[in-house]
Amino acid sequence: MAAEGGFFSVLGDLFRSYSDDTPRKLKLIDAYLSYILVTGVIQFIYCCLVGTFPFNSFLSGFISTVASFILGVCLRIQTNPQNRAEFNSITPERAFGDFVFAHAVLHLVVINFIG
Amino acid sequence: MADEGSIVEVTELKAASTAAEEEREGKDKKEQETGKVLYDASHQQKTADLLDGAQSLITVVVLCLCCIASFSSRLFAVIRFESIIHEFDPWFNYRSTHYMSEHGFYDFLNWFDDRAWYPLGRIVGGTVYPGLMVTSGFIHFVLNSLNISVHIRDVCVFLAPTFSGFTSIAMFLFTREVWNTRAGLFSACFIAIVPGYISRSVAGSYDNEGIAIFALMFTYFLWMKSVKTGSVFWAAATALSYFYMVSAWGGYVFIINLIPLHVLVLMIIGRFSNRVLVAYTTFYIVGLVFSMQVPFVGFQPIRTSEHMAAAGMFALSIAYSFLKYVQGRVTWRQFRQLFIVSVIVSAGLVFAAVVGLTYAGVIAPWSGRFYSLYDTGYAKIHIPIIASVSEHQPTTWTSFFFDLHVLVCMFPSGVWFVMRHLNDVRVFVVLYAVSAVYFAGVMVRLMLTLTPIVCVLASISVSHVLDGFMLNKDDESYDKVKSDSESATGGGGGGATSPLKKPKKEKKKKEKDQTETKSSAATSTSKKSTDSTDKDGGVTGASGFNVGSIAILVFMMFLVLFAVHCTWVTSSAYSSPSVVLASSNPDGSRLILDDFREAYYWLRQNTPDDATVMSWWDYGYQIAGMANRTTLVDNNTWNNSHIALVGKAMSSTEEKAYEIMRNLGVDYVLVIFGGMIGYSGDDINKFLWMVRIAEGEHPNDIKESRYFTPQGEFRVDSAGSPVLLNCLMYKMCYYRFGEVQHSYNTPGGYDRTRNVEIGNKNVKFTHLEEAYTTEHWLVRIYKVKDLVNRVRSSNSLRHVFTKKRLSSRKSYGSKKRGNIRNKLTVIKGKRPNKKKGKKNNKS
Amino acid sequence: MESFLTSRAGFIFGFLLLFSSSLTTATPSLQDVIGSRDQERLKGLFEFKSLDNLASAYYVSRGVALLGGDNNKVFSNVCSYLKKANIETPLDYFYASSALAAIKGCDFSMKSSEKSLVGMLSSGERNSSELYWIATSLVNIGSSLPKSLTVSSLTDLVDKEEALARYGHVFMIGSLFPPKTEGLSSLTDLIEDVVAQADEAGSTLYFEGGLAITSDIVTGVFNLALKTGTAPALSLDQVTQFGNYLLSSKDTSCVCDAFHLLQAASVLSNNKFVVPASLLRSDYDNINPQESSMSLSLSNMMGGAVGGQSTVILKSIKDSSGKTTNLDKKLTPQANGLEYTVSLSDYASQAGHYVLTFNSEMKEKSPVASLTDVQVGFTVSFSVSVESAVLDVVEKEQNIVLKSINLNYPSLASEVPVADHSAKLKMTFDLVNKADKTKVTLHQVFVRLVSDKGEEIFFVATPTDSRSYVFELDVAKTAKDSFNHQSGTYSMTLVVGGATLQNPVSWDIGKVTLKFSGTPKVPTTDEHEYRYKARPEIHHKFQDPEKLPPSIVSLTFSGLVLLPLAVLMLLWLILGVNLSNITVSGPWGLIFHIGLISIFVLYYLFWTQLNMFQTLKFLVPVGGVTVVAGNQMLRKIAKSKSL
Repeated sequence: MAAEGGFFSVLGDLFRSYSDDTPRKLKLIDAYLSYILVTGVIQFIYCCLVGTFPFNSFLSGFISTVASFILGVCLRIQTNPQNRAEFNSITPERAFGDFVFAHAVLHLVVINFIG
Repeated sequence: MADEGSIVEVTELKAASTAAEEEREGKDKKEQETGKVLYDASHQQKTADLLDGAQSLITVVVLCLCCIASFSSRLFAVIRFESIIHEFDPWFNYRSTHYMSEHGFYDFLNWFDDRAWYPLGRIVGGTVYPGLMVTSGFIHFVLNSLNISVHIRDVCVFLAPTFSGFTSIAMFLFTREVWNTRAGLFSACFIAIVPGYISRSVAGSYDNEGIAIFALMFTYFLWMKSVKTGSVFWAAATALSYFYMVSAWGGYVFIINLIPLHVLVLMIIGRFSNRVLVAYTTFYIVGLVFSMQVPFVGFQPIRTSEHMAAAGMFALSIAYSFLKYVQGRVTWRQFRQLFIVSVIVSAGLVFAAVVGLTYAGVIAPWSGRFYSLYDTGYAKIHIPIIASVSEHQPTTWTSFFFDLHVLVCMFPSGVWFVMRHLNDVRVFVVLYAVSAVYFAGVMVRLMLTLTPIVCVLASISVSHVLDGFMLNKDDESYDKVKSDSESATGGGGGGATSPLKKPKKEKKKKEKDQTETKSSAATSTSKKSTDSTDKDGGVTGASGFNVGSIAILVFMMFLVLFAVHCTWVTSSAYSSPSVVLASSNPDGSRLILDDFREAYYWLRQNTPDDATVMSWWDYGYQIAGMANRTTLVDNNTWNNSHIALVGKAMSSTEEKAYEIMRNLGVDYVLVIFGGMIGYSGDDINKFLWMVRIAEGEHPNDIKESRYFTPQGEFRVDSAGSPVLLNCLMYKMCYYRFGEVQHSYNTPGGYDRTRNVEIGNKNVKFTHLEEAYTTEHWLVRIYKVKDLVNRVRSSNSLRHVFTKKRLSSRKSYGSKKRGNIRNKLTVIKGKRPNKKKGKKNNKS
Repeated sequence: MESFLTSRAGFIFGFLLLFSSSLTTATPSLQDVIGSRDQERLKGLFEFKSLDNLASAYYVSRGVALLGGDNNKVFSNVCSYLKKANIETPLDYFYASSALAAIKGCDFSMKSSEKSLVGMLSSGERNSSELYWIATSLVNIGSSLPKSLTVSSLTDLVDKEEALARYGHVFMIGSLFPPKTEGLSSLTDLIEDVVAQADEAGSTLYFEGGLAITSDIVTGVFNLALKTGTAPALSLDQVTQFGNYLLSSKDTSCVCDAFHLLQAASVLSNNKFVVPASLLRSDYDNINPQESSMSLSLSNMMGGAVGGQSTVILKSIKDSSGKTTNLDKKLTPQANGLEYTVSLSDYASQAGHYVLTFNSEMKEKSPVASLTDVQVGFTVSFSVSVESAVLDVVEKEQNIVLKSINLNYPSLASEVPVADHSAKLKMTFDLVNKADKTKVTLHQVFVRLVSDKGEEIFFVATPTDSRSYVFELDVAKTAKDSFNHQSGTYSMTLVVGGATLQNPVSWDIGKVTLKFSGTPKVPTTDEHEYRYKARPEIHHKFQDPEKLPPSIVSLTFSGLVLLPLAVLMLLWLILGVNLSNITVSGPWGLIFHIGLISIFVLYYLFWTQLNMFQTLKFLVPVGGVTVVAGNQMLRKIAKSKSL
């Protein structure tokens, strides 16, 4: 029980700390991420309820959401000022360029796969 | 013999070029330290970029020479024989490529081949890795659109050498990522000529591996890149090249398991960073959706266990980094609670999911071929069809040395050096090395995946050692070294003929004045190399001038010997297109045995277009490709029971076999028989595998033990077991062979392959008849007769007493069948020519 | 034997049967003759031939003439036909004149055409046949041959031409010359060569080209010989073989063949050099059942007598067991000097096949060939009856006779025996020669069982050592293979036949009831039927499509998927988005965004209509532009930031 209580309190702290020190740019990205997340969840529910008959279509949809999420996360990580040290070679613009490139490549395949 | 000459030249050139490259390596380093001595810091900035240019020029030249060498060293077969597709699988690849170039890509994907696996047929589009066909089709398209009209066959023949050239470039890039430019050049040289790779990529062996190795190394290079930079771009590029690999070869599973392993190890040794996270997650998710585009792979990446490691690693790395992210935001205590709960939950979920899905059958368990990777005995027991393939046998030490020669010795030291200066990417190299060694030990075939990493590590060790020795020398020692290396290369040429020395000499001259004009390539490069140099200061400090020169000399000798060995192996072992065999007459002249094509051409010309040919599966692709006839089984062994049925037909008596063949609608049977000329790879030697495979499916009809003598040996002579001596395969191979006598002192029917006199000399057929036998009896084709016209009457109750028959049969004279009684014999009258007539008139 | 069985099949079951067939003979005798009946037939052939061209007129008239009858009706027809026929070519002249010469009592003369014939002869190059026609025509119309035609010219022709027929013509022409013409001998010298060119097949000799050429050459040879008076260089054998060949076309129905046959035959049957003879049965159709005698006729080719000076000797007789008895018995000729009668009663008492050997001797300097060892076969047959026939039903194990029925041929059995699978049907009977009541064994002794459905099956009755026959039917054993377990009543017949048998027996014994265990096999699974029947067609069954969820559900979920987008917008509005950088980025930014949009539009098209290659084709330029633009834009932004 105590663990549980601690758990939720931890979540509360977490949210607070997040809302306090996160630049707005990142918050925008986070919003985008949450949007992707929700979409993915809805698709998952769909496949659970209705089934995954055109399996390739379902996969392409779902994977594309996951991939976009991942790419978004990458973008977020690379543009996060805290990680500047790690990604010294990558400016936020470069990151964005890569992001766009990856999306272009990804969706070409997704379209090909969706049938 | 003109060919021979040219071959020699090619080999010489290759040896020369490799040797020359080694010298250049030497000179690179030479320049560096001469630069150190000669120049003071004031000039450095001015000259740096110029020197960069010089070095990159040399690098490019060396790389080009590598490509040329790797291309030309694979042309033995073409020069000796002709531009022809080699052994078995390439014939199918060629056939489907041809089909694709005619009907287009989409038709190819939907191609249902009714000429194979009669009567089942085969969905080719869904059961091949189309990368090879697409590649050559693309090249063909490009060349033709440039109005360079070249036949698709030539494209196919020369594809593998071309890609080996690319491979050496990819190797260069890879090694440069791992170590440095010099090692990169070395590895490029090594991979260009190392037999372990040549064995699969000579001109004409038009097979997946030819392009797959390039894709493999290039993918790994890009992976290195993306791990280093952690950029999404490189990761996406990795995924793209991974896609190419998937479309080219089943070996992509090696990548999709090795990279997660790399990430995992990084995580364990605490080197996991956001860069790795970005690289891996991007690579995985994009690569996943890419890999599912290949029809043959389909949904496997999310269904089969081979790919689950990657998926799990994906989830794990995300969770890990998420936790780290959280960790940065909360206190350690809270974090622990959070961590425990989430880890327990997530781990439980993942495990339950995977297990559940596996048992629900959504995730296929490991396929047999992969089991056989972990338990070498597995295949022999459970899947004889896999074990029967020679390239699935465990590797012997000799073949290790045969394929890699001196590199085998250098490779562990390379591992050692890498371990000493570890970083993210070098961890990967170590993992690659270890796993590849294991797999290569399990299967001869996987030698192929081992070879590149061996080249990399060997090159690392070589260049490292040379760095160590050559970074402090002064001019005369340099000259000394040069003369040594010169003499060494002279020796390296083996039987180097005088006209060949000349170009080498002037090459050297060129290089020399290169070095003189831009003889200050040092500082920048030395800067580059300082990291490595100062690290192994110990080595350099210890190595005096003599030790150094001797060591260098020894190394040069090694490398030269290596080059010689490669040339020899390539020319002797790996350059025969097992379609056309070459033997030598007593007088030493070369004798070409073209029986295979003779037989296939006979089939193509003399059998109805829809005739069905039964043969052991090795020859299915060739029959389909060259004879264009329907086959029962072929080299893509997807249906074990069908193959077992053919094996059963081959290994049972003629009557039983006839029933089977009637059911399968067989018109012709084709066997390979080497006993006449002593060709060891014939069907009698493969026969036990047929029996085993047949026994696997029909255990109560076929028993392997019945085909052995009581002493348990497999003999075809009179001591052999009667079951063997009367089975269809034996009869077809040795039909009328008893009448053949090679020479006076050998008995009739002396099998040269088994070196015995055969046991069953008078073979008679009732349901088959010999249709064709090639010049050297290598291929024998039999026609399956149709059913007899007369049906035996069901009324069997005619008691006829022959002993006191009173009919007038007696007077019917001779008992011989088919003679017409009192047939008229026409005696033609004389036809006098004019002269005679005249004479008579006069008289 | 063979030839006998086939040709005289009709007589096999005759009463006392005597037949002849020429077997191998030492000196070849003619194996056939143109007997009186044949001559009648040929006459009829000629009479009823409608005269539609000169050739037929020629054949008919010559043929009738050769047959020796002066048939005024035919002659008048030919005469009237010749009158209205128009005659131009040498062949026409030949036919017309020959026909005219052949017939009697025709008031049509061709004397007038002599000039034109001579003209033809002298005009231009004439080959041998034309020469033959013209010369013959000239002779036919009673004028003499012109001086221009000499023997040497004929020999030149022989050397010049190739065809075999030329010899015949040349000989014919030669035979037209007056006897004392010099050089005729050179033609007679040719004969040997010519005959050497004949082909020999069996006992026949012929020239390739068939009847006409052979007949012409033979006739020519003999005519020439008659003219010159020197015997032709022909052996008796050769002549006989020629004769045999000609006779092989005896049964022709074509007047030209008939004519050629008669032309040669008449020459061969009366000339003063060599006449082949034949010794044959002459009483095929007047068989006398009582007295066992047969009559032979020694005749020439046309079936005519060869003169009464001949003697025929019966040398030996060989019976069916191969025993030969020599008896040099001189046969007495009949009144007509043609026929000889042999009484066989004291040689051939036993039934069986016999072979007689004859010689015929001629007086000296008679041209007729004297024959040696002419073999003539005949058969003495007998009539058989079935005696002491008993039909038993025997129990197999203990071999007890359950029921025994005495049968008496040829009446029906008194009752119907019943045999079940434990029993055996056994019939014993003797075949007895009616004449001397001895048991005999014959070739064909069958028992025939016919079910009420009409299916029949034969079994062989086998003779025991005591020469009496036994037929055993093991019900159980034969159930499957022979009877297919079909129980029921079968009618039983005894069939007896043989080569020397007069009365073939087919005795309907009666009915038997057979009870088989087991059930009859269904005939549909008869593999013999099945093998040749068409196999049933295989219909391919396609996988039925998976059921799709109702469209409502899908649509709602599509809506749901779009919903978060709104949420996103909302969130962004809350957080506040500034698009200022786009303006900063400038034209590159514009291009970049356009490129991006167009790429995704392209993807949409790819999804809807395009295929991959087209897409890539478009994608490459657009993507390139976009990349460049994006690069520029981002660089700009970066600069603006760093400033």
